[in-house]
Amino acid sequence: MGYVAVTGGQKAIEAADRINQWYRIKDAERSLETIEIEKQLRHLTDRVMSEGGLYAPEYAALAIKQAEGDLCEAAFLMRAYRSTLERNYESEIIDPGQMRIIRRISSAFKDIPGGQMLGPTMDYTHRLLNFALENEDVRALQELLKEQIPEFNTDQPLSLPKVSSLLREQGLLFPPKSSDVLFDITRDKLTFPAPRSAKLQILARGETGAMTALAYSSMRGHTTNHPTVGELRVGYVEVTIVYPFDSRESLCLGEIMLTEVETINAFERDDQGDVKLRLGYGLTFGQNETKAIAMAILEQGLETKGTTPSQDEEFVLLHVDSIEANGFVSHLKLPHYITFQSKLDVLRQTQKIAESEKTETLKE
Amino acid sequence: MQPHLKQTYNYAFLDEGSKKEIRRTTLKAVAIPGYQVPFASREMPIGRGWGTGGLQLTLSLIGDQDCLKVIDQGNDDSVNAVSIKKLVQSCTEAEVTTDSERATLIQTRHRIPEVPIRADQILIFQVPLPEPLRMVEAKERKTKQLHAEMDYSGIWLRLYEDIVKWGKISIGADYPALAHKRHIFAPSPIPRYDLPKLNHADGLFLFGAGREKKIYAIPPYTDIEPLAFDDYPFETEHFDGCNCRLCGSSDTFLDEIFDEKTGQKFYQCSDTGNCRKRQEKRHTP
Amino acid sequence: MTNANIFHHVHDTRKLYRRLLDSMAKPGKINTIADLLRGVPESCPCSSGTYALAQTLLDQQVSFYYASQELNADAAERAIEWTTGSHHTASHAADYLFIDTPPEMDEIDSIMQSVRIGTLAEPEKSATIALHVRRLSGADDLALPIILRGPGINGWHLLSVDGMNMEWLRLRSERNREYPTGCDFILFDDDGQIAALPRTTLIERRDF
Repeated sequence: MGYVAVTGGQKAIEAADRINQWYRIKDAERSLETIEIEKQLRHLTDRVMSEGGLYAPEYAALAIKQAEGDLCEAAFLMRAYRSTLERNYESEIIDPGQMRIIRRISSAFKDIPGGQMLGPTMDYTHRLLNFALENEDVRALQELLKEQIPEFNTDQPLSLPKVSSLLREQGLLFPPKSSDVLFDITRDKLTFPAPRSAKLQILARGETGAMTALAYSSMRGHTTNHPTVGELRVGYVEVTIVYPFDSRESLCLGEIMLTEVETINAFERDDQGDVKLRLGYGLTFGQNETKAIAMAILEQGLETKGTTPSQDEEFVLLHVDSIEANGFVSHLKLPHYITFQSKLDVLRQTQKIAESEKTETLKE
Repeated sequence: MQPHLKQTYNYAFLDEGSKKEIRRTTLKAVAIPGYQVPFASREMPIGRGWGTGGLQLTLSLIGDQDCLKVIDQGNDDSVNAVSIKKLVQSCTEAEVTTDSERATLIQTRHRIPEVPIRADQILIFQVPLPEPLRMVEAKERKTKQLHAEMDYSGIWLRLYEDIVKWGKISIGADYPALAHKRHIFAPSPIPRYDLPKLNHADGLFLFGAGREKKIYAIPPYTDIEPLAFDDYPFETEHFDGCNCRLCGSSDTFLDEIFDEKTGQKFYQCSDTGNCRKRQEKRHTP
Repeated sequence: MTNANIFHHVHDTRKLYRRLLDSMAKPGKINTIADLLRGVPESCPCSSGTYALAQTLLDQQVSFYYASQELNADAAERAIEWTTGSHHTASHAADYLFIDTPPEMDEIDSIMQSVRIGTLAEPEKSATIALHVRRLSGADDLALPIILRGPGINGWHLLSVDGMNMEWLRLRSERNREYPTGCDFILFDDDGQIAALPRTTLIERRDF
């Protein structure tokens, strides 16, 4: 090893690191347990897993703690960690039809086989600050709720047929567009037009807020695209891989929680002249309902021709990534002395030209 | 504070598959000067847009025999340069230096060192926006087609409009240039002062845009022509009559600095490593 | 730190890449990889140059084609597939072509006529041909002396080759006519020397 000079810049970043640590805990009574984040800030960990593209609730909780609750930073920590992991296997195709459901609704039909099931949702809870949460007896509340909702405490898996299967059986839906080659956005070079699998992957990792905004634009004023939620389901799905030593068998790695949304859009005529409905598809890690709906709207928008922002493939796909958008916007904090100096130089030269032009005009 | 990267991660952080892809892409880039070759681009543990393209190139190249210099704005001690150097040191045994003549690899943001790059050195640029035609066309699909057809009328028109409006071409840094008489490329935002250094140089220049997922290259002895008109020739920044207040140099790129008390304006070399060497030379008789 | 006797998949591939990059950036410049080839297993059914280049360039993301008149091509293909994860394919579809012993004239023709050269929009979707020759030299002392010009070369550069059919170069200039499409060549010889001829290099035969 050669001699390494300790420099002012190095001292400064080390000091900043320490100061940041200090600000993280200076007013703390005790260290925040990551298990508390994981178990009680469900939506936050779900969102970080979804945008980070890594299903690991414990690590998401750790990332949230480390990032002091900065969502983008936490998703970035997950993404940077995941990019160092080897991809040893590809899972078999998961089947959300076999989902162990905790929530399932349809806005298209009142009566669907298996029925509507609200499950865990804040949709109909009044948005009033609940001051009782400041002094909550968790144990007592757990006991009370266990008695009140016994069906959520059984090991009985609840699996229900999908609404889209019913529509398909009745010949109302086009079959999903299949792509032969599965693109991997973390490994393959993305060029445009992007294959459908790449589009879906980018959207599945997209930033919730950005996607919601773009989907909103498509619903509100730009295409007045108002799809019907055929079905939204939340629950657990098994992930399996082909057993490495015997390809006839599957090996279950565990369950992941997913939100799956299928929206029903306008009908269209295909090349064979058949008229059927188009389906939009959204799938996210965890319970991320708005993002899943936004995804279904956006992916369907990208399948249709038009000039609105949400139908523009590059506009949508290149701007919904939290890590990239945050990285580039925040890089403006880096010094730009050189480019600014260069710009000043051009400005001064241009000023000189403008001055001489003025003088000439006066002379005339 | 850094976790023990040497134990946890592969040599030079990236897994071998990622390195191979970057290397294959780089070889292609060298074979097609100035053409932006897409690559998959991994997420790195530094901000996306904070030098991840340059960093991935550096990590795909570096070995323990290398000596690395990292500069930002010409400065070795700029915090992001320090941060990148620290990351590379945490996952390799490579030496680091501030002396551009000792370095085998130099990663840079916004500058080319004053001392010309030698044949045995590689200069690696961090590139924010690799597409020179982006200023006239927003869509990647279209700019790709424009390059394919060598249809550069849009950017020429833009330069012409500049002259009509301002009396000169108003581009500061990142001045577009033509490589090997075929591809227009963005030299990353280096000042115009540095652009001629790319023309028929002795060393190899590699450009990495991590967020935009592109790698391109300018090999040694390659024609690099800044876009300009016969009657409105290419001009570098003007430092007429200015000297560095530290080394006295009048032939280097200078930062403009204001004294916070007096408000007085003075100049200082942007290449701090070179400036320090010049100062030392001045003091040793 | 590393076992000097075994071609190291991290450090030796990196060293080879650096020398290859140097040769690609300076067309015709000869670099030696002889020190690295000593680590190639003797049981390897292809040449050690092919083996080392394959380890450096190939993985499951790309495909390759292997041709050899003398060596057991099937065994070589399988060895490369197993050690790199890359898959063997036809010469017109491959990303990398390894030509280990000189093929017949008509085979050179069929390879060169169909080898991928990319498109104007995506010139990188072209193949790289790694060609095993007998000897490379920077002096005018071998059967085929050529003068190189273009990017990476200060004026002109002399390269002499033994064991390379002139047909390769003739067809190369034919296929590389519409820059930026074209294919790139890596030459490696029996002594562990390498040189590269990217598509930008203009070649003329030096005849005295």
